Amino acid sequence: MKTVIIATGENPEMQALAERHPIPMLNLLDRPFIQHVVEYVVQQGLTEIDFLLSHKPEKFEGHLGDGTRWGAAFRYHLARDAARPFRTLKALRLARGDEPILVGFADRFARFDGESISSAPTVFCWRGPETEGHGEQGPPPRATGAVENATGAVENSAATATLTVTETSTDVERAQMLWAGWAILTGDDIDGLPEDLDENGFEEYILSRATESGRVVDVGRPLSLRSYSDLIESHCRVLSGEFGGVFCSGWEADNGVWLSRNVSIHPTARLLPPVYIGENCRIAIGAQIGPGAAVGDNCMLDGRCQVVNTVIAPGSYVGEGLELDHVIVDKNRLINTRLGADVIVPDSFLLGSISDTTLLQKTVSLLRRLAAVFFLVVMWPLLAATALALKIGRAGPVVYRKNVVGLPAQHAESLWYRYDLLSFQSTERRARTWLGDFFLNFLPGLINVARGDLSLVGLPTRTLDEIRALPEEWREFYLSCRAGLVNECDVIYDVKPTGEEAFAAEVYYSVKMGIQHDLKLLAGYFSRVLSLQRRDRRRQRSA
Amino acid sequence: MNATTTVPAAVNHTRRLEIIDELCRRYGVGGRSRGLANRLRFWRKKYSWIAVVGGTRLLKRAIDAVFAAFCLIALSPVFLAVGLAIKFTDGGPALFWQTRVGQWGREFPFPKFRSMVMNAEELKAKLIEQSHHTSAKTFKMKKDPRITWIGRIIRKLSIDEMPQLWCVLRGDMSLVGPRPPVVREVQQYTLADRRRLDVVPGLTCIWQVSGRGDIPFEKQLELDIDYIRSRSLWIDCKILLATIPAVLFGKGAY
Repeated sequence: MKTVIIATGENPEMQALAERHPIPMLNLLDRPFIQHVVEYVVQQGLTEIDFLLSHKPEKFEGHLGDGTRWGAAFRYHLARDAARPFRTLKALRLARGDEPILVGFADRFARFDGESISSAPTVFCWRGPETEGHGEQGPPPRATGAVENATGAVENSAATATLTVTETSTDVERAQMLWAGWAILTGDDIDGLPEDLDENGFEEYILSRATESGRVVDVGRPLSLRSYSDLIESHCRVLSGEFGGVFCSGWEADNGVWLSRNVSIHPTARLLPPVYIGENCRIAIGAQIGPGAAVGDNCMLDGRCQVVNTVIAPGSYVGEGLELDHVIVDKNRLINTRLGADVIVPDSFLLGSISDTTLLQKTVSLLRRLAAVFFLVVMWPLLAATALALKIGRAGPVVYRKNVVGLPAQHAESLWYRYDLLSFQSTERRARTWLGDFFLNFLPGLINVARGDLSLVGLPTRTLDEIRALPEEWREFYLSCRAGLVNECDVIYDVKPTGEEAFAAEVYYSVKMGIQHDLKLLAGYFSRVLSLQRRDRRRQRSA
Repeated sequence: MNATTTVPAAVNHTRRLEIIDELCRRYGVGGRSRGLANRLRFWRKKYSWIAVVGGTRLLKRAIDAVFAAFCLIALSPVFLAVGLAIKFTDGGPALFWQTRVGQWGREFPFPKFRSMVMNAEELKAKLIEQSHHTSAKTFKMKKDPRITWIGRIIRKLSIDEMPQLWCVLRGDMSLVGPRPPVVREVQQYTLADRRRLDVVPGLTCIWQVSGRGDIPFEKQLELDIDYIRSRSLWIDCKILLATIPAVLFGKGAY
């Protein structure tokens, strides 16, 4: 059976955290929430998984890869509209006819077991707060139909307003069932999906289908990532053992106290269960961590701080004497779940980031500029000769300037840094040979690299108008990457790529970006230059 | 399912001010000098943490690369002699390239000196039933009839594993870490078994020095998980040192 995980990351309630990470990529204990979901699905023997993504797709692909890590096969699809991914689900046509397909949301972890997975259309639900007594908010939508326990038998009944639980059918056991975010649909169910369905509409649709022909299985209350409170609560439920079967690299040192490797805890610090401490954490003198605290990997909690019912994201620093209660900390961002508001704390000694990328970035940038200066020193006779030849042999200016936006850029357009990219060729024209591109674009562009405007390898440079014209998702990840003289697109495609080809190449580069990949692309570029290839050769051959 | 509600911007702004107010009231005392002292303290703690945690990672990789490069150069005469001996035994290639599974399930080429006859893989299927392992996840057997005379010697001295220093130099492997399994083994792994693939595989690990091939798969996994949880530079050094007598006395190597 195929599985489709919808991970569009659309959640207006958690916008503050979604800026840095797509919501399903937020950590639950030591790994992203979606990884727990994927591991559970694979454990049930479902190894063919398709992901529907929208927000920061490169983060998902970068982390999960092609699935070999779990012995599974993953495929990724982009949903055009994050709020309505079901149109893409229909278009994919992963299921045909009666072939069943497991569909679920990445921000909910429901424990359906192998026995409850069958070819019959199934909706996985849990008993609502009225019977369990949990403080879930919002009007619970009702499912009608026959309910079975995850291991129980199906009992078909006439569609009624409330669900009848199979074990006992007394009035006391009548319960309202809430959808657990997962369902088994047949190809016909997917074909029958109405257009422009949002998540609530989808829920109503599959519950109505279950009433008609399917079954409803009680899988217990799922872990959820629908709000900030859910994030804290999910951690507490896993740590206290209420929700078992979750993989974690740490171990339970004491009842409800989970520790990971290379953790240093001052003897005077107190850990009150349930509590989880990630890898490489440092807990200083007199700190009180817990109850209900989950500290991610690589965190530092300074002296006498108190952390209660709080989730601390990996790489965060919590200052001396800070008292945190019902909050989420992501580096210098503080989210108060009771007030539902967030602030960015500018004083790093209160809340800060422990990982230092600034120093590394500055060193890499310096090395990049030095490499460009070295290239310029070696190749200045070629540069001068080209300029001279163009001055003599061509009418018009020798140097063309294209005003492009410096990357990475802030989201506010007014803060974008712009510079003139130098070239010996008009921006509308494209060199016909790789050698021509080297002389007309690469050599003068080295001056920009030496000035620190862009790097040798990166995404293509774009003007302000070109960036404005990009689709939102593309623009968002484009602005967070870096631009370069040589880009993946140019090296892969000999002629000007189509929009989709360019997008795919840019997403691929943003995932693979690194010294090794950059050197590979640079080598690819120079091999084309030296082999005197024409740039449109490959497309002609394929045509 | 929760109904998603968005907090109006004005309310959110007021709540934000409340938090800032609270932070200022509690932690804003002491003026500029106190702020500077706090900042210095933060930088001191942060950079000492980076030096220890990042430095350990860097040091492990540096030791791997230097040690592998040094050994490859120093042992090259031995490699040459063994290579020629294998070549003259049956005329086949000296190296046997396998595909092994590394960190996070990534496959990589893995060289070994060929210690078996040339059609060893074909004979393997017939011999699997005679395996001494109760679990079929790892396959090793005592007195394997496919092993050549030179193969027996180099296996006993673990010289057949030495070309893997090349993988260490490339970064696919480390000196110490769980042994990289073959693709066939990994296909039979459960999700729990796959925890072995969470770290970079190595030339030697705890179960290598405490019995090697004699240990059943479940115990190997347990030892590997113990290593993954408690790994440190110091433990790596201890395992490396313990590997030397294990190799010299050939315990568990067959």
